[in-house]
Amino acid sequence: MRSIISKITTIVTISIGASLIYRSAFFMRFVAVSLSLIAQFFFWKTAFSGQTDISGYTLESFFGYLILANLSYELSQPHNVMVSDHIQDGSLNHFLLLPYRFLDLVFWKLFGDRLAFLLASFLPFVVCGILFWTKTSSGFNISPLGIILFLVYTLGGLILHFLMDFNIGLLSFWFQKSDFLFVMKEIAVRILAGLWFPFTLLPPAVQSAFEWLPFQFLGFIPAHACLVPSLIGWKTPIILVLWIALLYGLYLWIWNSGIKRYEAFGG
Amino acid sequence: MIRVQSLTKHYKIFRRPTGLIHSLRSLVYREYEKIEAVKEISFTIGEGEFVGLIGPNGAGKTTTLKILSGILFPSSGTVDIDGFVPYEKKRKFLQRIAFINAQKSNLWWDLPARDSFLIHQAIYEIDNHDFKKRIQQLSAMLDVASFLTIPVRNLSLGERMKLEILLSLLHCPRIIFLDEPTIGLDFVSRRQIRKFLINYQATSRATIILTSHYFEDITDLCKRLIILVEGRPVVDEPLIRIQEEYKDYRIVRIRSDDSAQYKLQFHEQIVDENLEFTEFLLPAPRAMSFFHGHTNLELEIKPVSLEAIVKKHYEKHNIQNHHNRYDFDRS
Repeated sequence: MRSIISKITTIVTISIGASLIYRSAFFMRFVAVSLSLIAQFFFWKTAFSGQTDISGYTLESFFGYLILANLSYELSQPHNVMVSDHIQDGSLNHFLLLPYRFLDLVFWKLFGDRLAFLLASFLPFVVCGILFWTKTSSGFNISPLGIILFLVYTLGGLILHFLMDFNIGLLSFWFQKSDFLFVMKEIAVRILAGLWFPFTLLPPAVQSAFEWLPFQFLGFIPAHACLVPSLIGWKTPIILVLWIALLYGLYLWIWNSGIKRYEAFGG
Repeated sequence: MIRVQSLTKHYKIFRRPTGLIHSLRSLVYREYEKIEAVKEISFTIGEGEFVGLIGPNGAGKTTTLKILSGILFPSSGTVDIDGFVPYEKKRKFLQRIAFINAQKSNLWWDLPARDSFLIHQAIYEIDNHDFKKRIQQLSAMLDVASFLTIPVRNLSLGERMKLEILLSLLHCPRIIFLDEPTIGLDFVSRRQIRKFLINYQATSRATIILTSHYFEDITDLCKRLIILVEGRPVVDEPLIRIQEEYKDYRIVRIRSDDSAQYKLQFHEQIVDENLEFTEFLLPAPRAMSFFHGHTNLELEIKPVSLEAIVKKHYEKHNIQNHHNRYDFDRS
């Protein structure tokens, strides 16, 4: 057990160090997300003009949701996983020779990277949040339970998102490139993760369909759980665990079949 | 102990002629070709041996090493390394091997090498005391102590390669696969790495398999040579025996306007030729007696290098025809 923890802490710590070298990348990503949020703020401000709420959301609670959903999404982004590249250029060789699973190494490296992102971007997000809530006096609070649920579901979202990208990357054992699947996934995520608006604005039939999908954990659920913890039912964590189990099972199957086809090109 | 029996590896590659029509056609129909990278290789390597695996590009050297290290699954045949089947990638097996390749770095690019070493320590569960001792010992042998805290991207190729070797040997592997470890390095760095490998093998008694295109690497390091040509071993002998076999031979280089007649006469013995000169591998007495008194040529007699011997073997297996024979005079 000690050696497992030692491996994880070493990889995570060194990954944080490596990620913080690219401070400008974090900053640029933060600027891009902020600009997108500002644009959305003005869009929804116009939509809210003349009415105090839409489907029970005030402008403030609506925008609070958007900030949290986007923060959660950014934290669960599997940046630099590059499984497809490792397979295509043969750099997977190095990982295959280690007495440690490739999946674990890449995941803990990503976890460190996301922690570094949280450290580098958390402060600006908090400042934005405080300014926003102070200026708009929205009247709602984020409880400690809300913060814990936000972190737990964001971690769940990170695992899900990582497994999705990892599995898509592994398809490079068969296809020369699996990038097109990433594009499709990105489009699906943008809509189905609730990054533009909460699902509660949608018709009940669509809402109930979305409730069974994994994408909700990449934005909607963490934000929703943070703002209104009591609305998260018992079904939600079960769906999360089932999706993680399904994607993990899929990983095992793809990996075990794909590795036999691996050709280790490039020197 | 390494036992390889009837090892083969096939690849399927996609071939497509150039042009828009072929590009569009390839969307719905693709032609694949089967490449036999390794054909029926069998050999045994004992503990502590230092073996050179050489051959022209595409001979199957790296593919063989990748199968032996477990990176690739063989198409057929068996490999047994100290009782392990490499592709099963058992933890105990992976802990006793190292694969060093100059073209693929295992070090984290933006961080000092020391950070990569720490990850290696955690993954291989190396005791803290042993880890420190090992770094001290290996960095002194490789003369890299001052580079450990510099980000890898700021180091020269030679410095990076030495650190790469250090990283790969931290867990005291018993079997080491060296895939062209000195490629692209200047002669000073090459010599330093060779010296390190000689000393390392002398002290650790590790089993080492080396592929290289540099003959100094082979002659300085290896006691045994396996020559692969087109995926098959054509020679597997102790280096000393190969050299002894040719001890009475010489390389005869001639420059002559009538070189065509010599080529015709000794065409089996040609080891190199170009527009300026032709080289033959001939028994010394025959060379002396045959060329004695010839006035229409400029003659140079040199000792036989390993390179010439290996070239001769390539020639014998018809490789030269595919690669680098310039038949200017015969055409």
